[in-house]
Amino acid sequence: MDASTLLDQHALARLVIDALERTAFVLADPSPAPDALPEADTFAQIDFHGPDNGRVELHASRAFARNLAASILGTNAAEITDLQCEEALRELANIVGGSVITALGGSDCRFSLGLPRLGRSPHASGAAELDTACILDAEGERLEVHCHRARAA
Amino acid sequence: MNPTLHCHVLVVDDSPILRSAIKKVVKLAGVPEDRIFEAGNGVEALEVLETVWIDLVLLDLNMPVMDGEQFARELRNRPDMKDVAVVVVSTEANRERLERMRELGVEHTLRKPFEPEALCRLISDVLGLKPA
Repeated sequence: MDASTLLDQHALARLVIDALERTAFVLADPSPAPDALPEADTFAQIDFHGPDNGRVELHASRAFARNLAASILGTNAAEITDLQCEEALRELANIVGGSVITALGGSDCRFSLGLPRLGRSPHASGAAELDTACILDAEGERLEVHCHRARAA
Repeated sequence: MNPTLHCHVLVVDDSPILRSAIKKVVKLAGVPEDRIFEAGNGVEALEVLETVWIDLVLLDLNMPVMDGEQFARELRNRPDMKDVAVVVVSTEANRERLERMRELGVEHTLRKPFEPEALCRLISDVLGLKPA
């Protein structure tokens, strides 16, 4: 496996942090105390296909999704609807998915993305899967990002 | 006079929240709000193009119903639409797909996540070349 297919926790965190800053000017850092963050109750995911198949999942607190939507739209968080919260997280899954496949595929990227969707999939970790995860503190709110990859045969 | 004031822009993305964000950037680039249109997929985008003259399409690729590549192909097959400028704004990274989009006449590609200033500059560059 060459360097372009490696995606460790730190690299995953960096690309998510970059996506948040560029898309919505939301600041985030790897959380030193994840247990102190609000629990995740909003989920979005996106599949990717190519040399490996996999999935990127976002687990977030509702307040994170609300702040994200407000930042993207340039409005007050109190004006954001539940639908907009979900839309924002769904779009972030899309953007993070794109960043992940770019990191995995390099300049000759042969990965492609599916459509982002809400919810989470039951995940059974096995020997054939590569899992990478990071937990970020985004202005006091939780954002977890999980990248599951099925190891190529 | 700013040439962008006379231009019509169509934002095509299946995410309503991102369409709103992109529309804001288009306004910042100098296009009046009543000249900015939106669509949630390629079919809706073609419907807009059949009723309104559009100078620039900002196009997502991964969409349901009709994706961006199918839309671009359809656009090029229509004599009255084939010269519309298209800029892809997408998370797409697949090299072969992006090459196909270039062969379909896509002028520029901006990967998400993008900085609003980068999109604003790109819109101004593309529309600034259009006659008033």
